[in-house]
Amino acid sequence: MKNKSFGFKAALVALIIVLCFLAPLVVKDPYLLHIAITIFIWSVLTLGIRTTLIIGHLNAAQASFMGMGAYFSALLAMKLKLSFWICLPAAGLGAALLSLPLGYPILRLKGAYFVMITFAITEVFRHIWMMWKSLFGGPQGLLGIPRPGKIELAGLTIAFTSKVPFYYLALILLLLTLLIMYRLDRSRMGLTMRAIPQTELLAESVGVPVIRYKVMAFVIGSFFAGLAGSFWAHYFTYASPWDFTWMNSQYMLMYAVIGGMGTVLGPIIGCVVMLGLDELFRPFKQYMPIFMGAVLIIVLLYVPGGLIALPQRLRATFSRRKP
Amino acid sequence: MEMLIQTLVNGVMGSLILILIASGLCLIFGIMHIVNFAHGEFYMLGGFGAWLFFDRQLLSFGGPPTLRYLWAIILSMIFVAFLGIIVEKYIFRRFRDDLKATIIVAFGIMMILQASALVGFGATDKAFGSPFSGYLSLGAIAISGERFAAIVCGVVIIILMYFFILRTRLGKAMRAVAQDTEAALVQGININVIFSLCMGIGCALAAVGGALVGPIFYVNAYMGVEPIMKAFVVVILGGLGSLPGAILGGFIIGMTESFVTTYLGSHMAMLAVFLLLIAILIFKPTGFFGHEE
Repeated sequence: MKNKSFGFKAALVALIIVLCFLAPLVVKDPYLLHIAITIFIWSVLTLGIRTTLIIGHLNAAQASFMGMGAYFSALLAMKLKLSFWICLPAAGLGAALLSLPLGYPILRLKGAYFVMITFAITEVFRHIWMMWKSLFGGPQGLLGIPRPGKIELAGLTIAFTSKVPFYYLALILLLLTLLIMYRLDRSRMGLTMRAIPQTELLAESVGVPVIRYKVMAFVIGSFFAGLAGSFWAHYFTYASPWDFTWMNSQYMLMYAVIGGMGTVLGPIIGCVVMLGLDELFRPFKQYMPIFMGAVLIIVLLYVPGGLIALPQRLRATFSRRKP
Repeated sequence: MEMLIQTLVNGVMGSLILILIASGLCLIFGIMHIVNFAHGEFYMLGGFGAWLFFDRQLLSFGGPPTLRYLWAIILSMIFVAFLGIIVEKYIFRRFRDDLKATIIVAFGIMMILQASALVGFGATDKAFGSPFSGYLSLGAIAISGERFAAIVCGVVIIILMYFFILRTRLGKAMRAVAQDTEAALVQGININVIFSLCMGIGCALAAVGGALVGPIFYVNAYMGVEPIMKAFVVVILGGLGSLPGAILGGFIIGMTESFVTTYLGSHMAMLAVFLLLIAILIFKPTGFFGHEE
C-alpha cells in the first residue's frame, strides 16, 4: 500500500517535471515565463531556508545570503570579467563560505534570539551595501550586470537573449536543488538533523555533534541562497539592497510553512500556490498581504503540516465523521 | 554646544519612545512568552488613531488643541489595546507555548495590519496639525512643544506603568504569572484575564508611542517597521522580559542612535545599533538583567 502510493507520487512528480520541460514549446508569452522563473527561483530559496527550519531555527538572513551571492557574482562578472558559468557556482560557494564562520557563533542561540541575530545580520549587510558606494553602488545598487554568455551544446548555440533559456536554467537549478535536498533528507545526516530540534540534549549526549550539524544545515541553505542570488542578478541585470531585505526572508519562511516543511515538495507547493495567487490577483495587489497573512494563520491553526498534508488531513477528518 | 543639547533632547525623546514600545514587548514576552513581531504595527495604529481622533476630529469634543490631543491619545490607546486583546484571544492563545509558531503567526498579523492600514488610510504620509503652539526656550536652545510633550508624557506613562506593576494587586498577579504560570494558576489567578490585560497594556504602550511621534514626524503604514527592530535590540540588550532592562537599554540605544546620526549619519547609526546587538547576542545573550531560561 505504502509503495503503491509512493509510486503514484513519483509518477506524478515525473509527469510534472516533463510538463515543465515541454511548457515553453507551447507557452510563448514572456510574461508567463517570467512568472515561472520567479516561482522556480523562489522555490530554490525556500528549499534552502527549509534546511534551517528542519534543525529548529527560523532564519531571517536567507535573503541576505541571496544578496551576498548576487553582489559577489555581479562583481566577479563586472570587475574581473569572469564568465557567468564561473560566477554562478562561485556565488553559491561564496555565500556558503561566508555563512560558515557566522554559523558557529549564531547557531548556539535559540528561538527568538536566533531570529533577532539573523535580522541584525540582514540589516548590517544592507547598510554596508548602501554605504559602500564605490563597490556596491549604494542605494541604487549595481546596474548593467552582464547576462550569461552564449553556450554551445552539441552543435546547438544557446544565447541568453529571450526568457526561454533563463526558464530552462532556472528549472535545472530547481531540479538540482530538489535532488540534493531529497538525497539529504533520506541520508543519515538528514535524519540526524530532523532529530535535533526534538531532542537536542539527547542527541548531544549520544555523541551527535549538534552544532556541527546545525552549521552544516545553515551552510547548505546559504549555498542555495547564493546560487539563486547569482541567477537573480544576471537575470534582472541589476542588484539593489532593497531586493534583499528581511521581508523577503519572511516571505520564504511563510511559503515554507504554508506549503509544509515535512517533505521537499512542500516548500515548492507553497511557492507555486502563493506566488501563483499573487499573480492571479494582481489587480488587488494591495489586498494580497492581508490574504497571505490570513492563509498563513489559517494553515498554522488548522493544517499544521502545511498544504502538502492537506489531503491526508481531509481524509482523516472525513473518515472520522463516518459512523 | 547647541547642537550637542539638541542631539541630547532628540536622544531623550527617541529613547522614551523606544522604551514605551520595548516595555510592551517585554511585558508580552515576560508573561505570555510571545515574541510579538507585530508590535510595531500596534505602534503604527496608535499613530493613525491619534491622527484620526485629533487631526480628523473623529469622536472629538472640541476645546483647545492640547486638550483634544490628550483625548486623542487616550482614545487611540483604548482602541489599540482592544485590538491587541482580540488578536491575543483569538490567535496567539491558540499557539500558547509554541514559540516558533507564534513568531511566524506574528509575521502574518504584521502583514495583515500593515496592509490594512495601507488600504484603509492610503499610502501618503499623514501630517498632523500641531497640537502645541510655541517653543520652550532654555537659554539659547529651543525645544518644540511636541517634543517636550512627548518627553513629559513618556515619563509619566512609564512611571504609571511601573506603579501599576509594582504596587497594585493586578500588577502583582501579572508578576506572579511571569514567574511561574502554573503556580499562579494554583493560587487562583485567572491566567486568561492576566494575558488579556497584559496584551492590552503592551499594545496601549506602543499606541502611546505612535501617538506621541505622530505630530513630530508623520504617520504612515510602514512607520512601525524600523522602531520594532530597534525595540527588539533594546529588549535583548536589557534582557528579554526585564522591565528595568528595557529602560536602561532604551536609553543606551536611543542615545547611541541620536549621537551617531548627528555626527556620522543615519546608516552608521543603524549599523552601530545592529552591530551592538550582534555583539551582545554572541557574548552575553541574557543582556543586562535577563536570566537563563
